[in-house]
Amino acid sequence: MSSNTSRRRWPLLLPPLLWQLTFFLLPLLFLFVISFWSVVNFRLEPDMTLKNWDFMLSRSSFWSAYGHTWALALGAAVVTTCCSFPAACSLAFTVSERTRKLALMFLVVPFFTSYLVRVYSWQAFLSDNGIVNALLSLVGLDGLPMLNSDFGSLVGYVTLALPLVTLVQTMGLAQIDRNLIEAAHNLRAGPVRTLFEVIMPLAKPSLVVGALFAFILAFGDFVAPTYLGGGAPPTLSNLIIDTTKSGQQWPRAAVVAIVMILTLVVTSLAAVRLAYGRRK
Amino acid sequence: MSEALVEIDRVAKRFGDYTAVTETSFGIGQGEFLAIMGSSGCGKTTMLRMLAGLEEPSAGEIRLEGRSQKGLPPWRRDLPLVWQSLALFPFLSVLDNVGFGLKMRGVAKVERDRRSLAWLHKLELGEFASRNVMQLSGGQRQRVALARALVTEPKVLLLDEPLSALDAHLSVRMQALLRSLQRELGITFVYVTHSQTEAFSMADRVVIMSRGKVEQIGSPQAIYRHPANRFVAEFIGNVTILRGSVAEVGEQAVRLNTATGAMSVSRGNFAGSHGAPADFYVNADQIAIGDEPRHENHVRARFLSHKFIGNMVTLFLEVPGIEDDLKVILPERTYDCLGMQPGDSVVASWPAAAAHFFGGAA
Repeated sequence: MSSNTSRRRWPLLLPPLLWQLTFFLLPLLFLFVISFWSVVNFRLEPDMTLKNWDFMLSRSSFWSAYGHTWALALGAAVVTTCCSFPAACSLAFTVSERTRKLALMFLVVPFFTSYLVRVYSWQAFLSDNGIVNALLSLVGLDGLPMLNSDFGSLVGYVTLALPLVTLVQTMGLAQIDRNLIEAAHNLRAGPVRTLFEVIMPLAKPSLVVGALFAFILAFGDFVAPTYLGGGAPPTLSNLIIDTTKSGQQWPRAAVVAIVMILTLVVTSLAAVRLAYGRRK
Repeated sequence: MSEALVEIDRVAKRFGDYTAVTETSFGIGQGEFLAIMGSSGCGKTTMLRMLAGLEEPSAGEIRLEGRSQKGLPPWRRDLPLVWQSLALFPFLSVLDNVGFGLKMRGVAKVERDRRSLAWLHKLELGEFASRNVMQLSGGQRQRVALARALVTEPKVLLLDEPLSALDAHLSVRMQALLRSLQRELGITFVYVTHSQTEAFSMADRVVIMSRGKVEQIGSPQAIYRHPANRFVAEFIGNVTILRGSVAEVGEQAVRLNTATGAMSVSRGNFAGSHGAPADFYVNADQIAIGDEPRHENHVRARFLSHKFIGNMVTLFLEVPGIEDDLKVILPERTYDCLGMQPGDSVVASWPAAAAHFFGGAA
């Protein structure tokens, strides 16, 4: 009977399958195919050549952009995780469930404004004559160069990822069995030791998944590194823009994109393994 | 109770408008097995949580070895708790779960593993030391929780309905284990339960609570024989409560007029006067059944039904003029010899010594 019902239900699976096919698998396939095409007189021509792959992967500028992107994304994951955690802890443990739900709703509000607008407004704070430096000079400190640096990029990434990461962490922390926290107290673990010995291990999946989200968002983002990081040294997203703008090199850009996708797939698998890996 | 290890001194707990525990005082002795019993919401768990420091009393104070525990956070107290949900750490091995309390006390790993392992062996869990706690059965996890609480050698162990998740067979075995452990270690157990069987079979003294109030504290025998009030009598359920008016107060016994005739009740320290209404109870296992009265108090009754509990039988008899059924407990063999059928008319009789006033017996 169960096989009968599943047979009758399978048409219901069609829409999601169709969606995946249309908006994910086919474009991905197209991207893959394009990476073997060539560009003749600024026009794409179907081809079966490895020269785009060879051109990109043999350049040290590609690999330094790759390393830079990786380092920035990792930095974004770490910084965002650290910035979110105190907020998530207080939302999960110190407020009522009602307040928590309200607060989580407000976490979504930043998504109502364009990310680009939020990044632009950071320029007013971070530029050499910006608000932060003005405040610093008020207390007699020298101004700091913040715009057009990795610091600027990181600020943008955190702006992008912080609400989502806080959401993920809060939901993870709120699920922790309070008995386990009380049990730790009962066995003489004070608040700080309880945090490190009990809460963090229990929250590990949400911490890792949150960090992974931050990593993915930062790894592919081009707004922050362009408008706050100054585009130099370039990230992979900067590289894609440059490649497509200069001479319509879509096949080379496709190579970069595929390398990025592969990187994120491997990173995600590793993160999921770390988050949900079973003990022996 | 000046020698008490734990003193609960006029302790009360309110949550907003709700009173979880009304002002209560009692002591718990060194090496005593104390059970706190009552139905859910009676305040027994709140009492235990106050002892552990997980709740702060709204009034009064708790003293451990004469030292006030007021304002002392749970992590500065030495009162490990065995949780109803066990609250084992799912991310730690069995060994590390047991060693957690030692680790928090700064005991080095080698020493902590040695002591944890010793406890695991003692509770027949040695072979599971490196397993994840989630891979163990309910009974095994129960013993891990016990080892985790006992490994630090506390003076008092708190237990919150630790056996409620186990099946009956396992529960009985764990009861025996707990009792023998407690005797062997000589430490104080404070055991919260809703189960009369668990409380009465293990505890030296039982505290019966209802709606945040302590109804009676005493040994299982004392509570069983002499319930302090109507609540305890009905909760324990081994007596029938009758009502009469005082006719004559004698040296040993009090004569009362009841709906079913005159009856004698042990006087105890009864202080009522002539003509006053009084409730008394009759112990179910001291009533004789037959065709003829064998004791001075007797009623004619109709046999309604029976129920087996172990090798004892509880009979329910209908007595004209009495609202509740008269409860009689007989050994199963005695019941067999009587050869009664439901609907049969019998004579139930009991001596004055089987009937008491509430709170009357010292």
